Amino acid sequence: MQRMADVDPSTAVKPTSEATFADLLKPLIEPGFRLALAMLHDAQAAEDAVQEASFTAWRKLGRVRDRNRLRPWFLGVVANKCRNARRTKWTSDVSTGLPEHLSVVSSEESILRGADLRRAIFRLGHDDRLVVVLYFYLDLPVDEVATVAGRSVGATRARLYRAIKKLHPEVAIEEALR
Amino acid sequence: MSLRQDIHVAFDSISHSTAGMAERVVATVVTEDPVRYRRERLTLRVWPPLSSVAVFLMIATVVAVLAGTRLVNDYRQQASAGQSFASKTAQLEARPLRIPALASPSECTPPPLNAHLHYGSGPVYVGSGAPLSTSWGRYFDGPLYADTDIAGPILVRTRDAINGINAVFVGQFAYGPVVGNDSLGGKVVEQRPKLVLSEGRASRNGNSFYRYEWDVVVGFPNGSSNTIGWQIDGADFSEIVFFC
Repeated sequence: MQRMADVDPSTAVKPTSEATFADLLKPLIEPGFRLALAMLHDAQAAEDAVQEASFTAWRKLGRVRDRNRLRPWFLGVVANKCRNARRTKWTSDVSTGLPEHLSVVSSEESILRGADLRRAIFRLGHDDRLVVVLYFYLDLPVDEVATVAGRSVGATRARLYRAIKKLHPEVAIEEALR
Repeated sequence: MSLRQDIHVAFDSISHSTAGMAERVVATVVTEDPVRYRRERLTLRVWPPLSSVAVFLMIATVVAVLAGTRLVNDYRQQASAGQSFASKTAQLEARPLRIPALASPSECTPPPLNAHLHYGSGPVYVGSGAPLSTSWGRYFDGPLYADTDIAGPILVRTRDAINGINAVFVGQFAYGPVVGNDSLGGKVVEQRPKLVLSEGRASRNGNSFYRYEWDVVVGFPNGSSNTIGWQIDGADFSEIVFFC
């Protein structure tokens, strides 16, 4: 999610040079993909979301005033693309990313536990899922999670706590945050 | 394992290698964006947020419910009013015809004239009509007036006071079963025995003298005398107007 503070409105919308764009964006593709994958649970859809976010970045990168905030800004764009991607296929089947034969046949507890966890995360609302993925899977600090989510740090922390309780009602927050 | 480790394991197990992805994504952007940009400029893209669609649908539903309720109520009121109008007309029809039979035209008392030189004692007045003859008889195309509000239907019947012949009416206010046909001005018209007027169906409203005005056509068959009685009935009045 793009915040006004991160964008210089006086800057003309002009594409960055290809070399600069590549240098700036390439390090962000992998975390962007991981975010999209965890949000959408579909590798192809995740790559599509990152591609779409990159088109947006190509056009708007010149407006990002603080290059140090490029990562949260780009992840915010990816999160928006994921939200739209889920909207456009909200009636289609939900993919958990787990092959069917594993959930039926495999006896490996870790695989089943991972599938259960993915399903639980997938059932969270977009905003809850976003902070969980950013914090636990992308390992971003809470303030950067807040920047991506477009919320205050306090509100983000509260949302994170609530999301954790939804995932693991019995777990202690401090233990979960480790 | 901690929740963080669990989540890493859960998602890493369905992830795939991102090797080369960054280069592929960047190359796609650089090569395809000009094409996309031109396409987007040529195409109006409207992607309303789901919340906007939901709000729109909710508003549309409320409007539809309100409009539907209004339509149903209007229909019921109209149906009720229609039934009421019909039953009131039937009540007026049930009143006996009081136009007296006269032995000769000399017994006819000329009707009073109001300030505007129209016939009758009110609240409904009969204006002068222009005659039109056919092989069947004579028609008069003239107005009826009311100078006050009159609730419900107004029933008009006429009879030749000398010969006992009933006159007929044609046109939009003619009422009752069809008793004959004739050709007026090259157009076939149906003759009916009565006339029903109402405020809501007046030809004109609020002229300089009257509140309501109706253009009516009355016909007298050949053999009628010139002594014609009009009985005009409303909910709270009944008047007889003679033309001698």
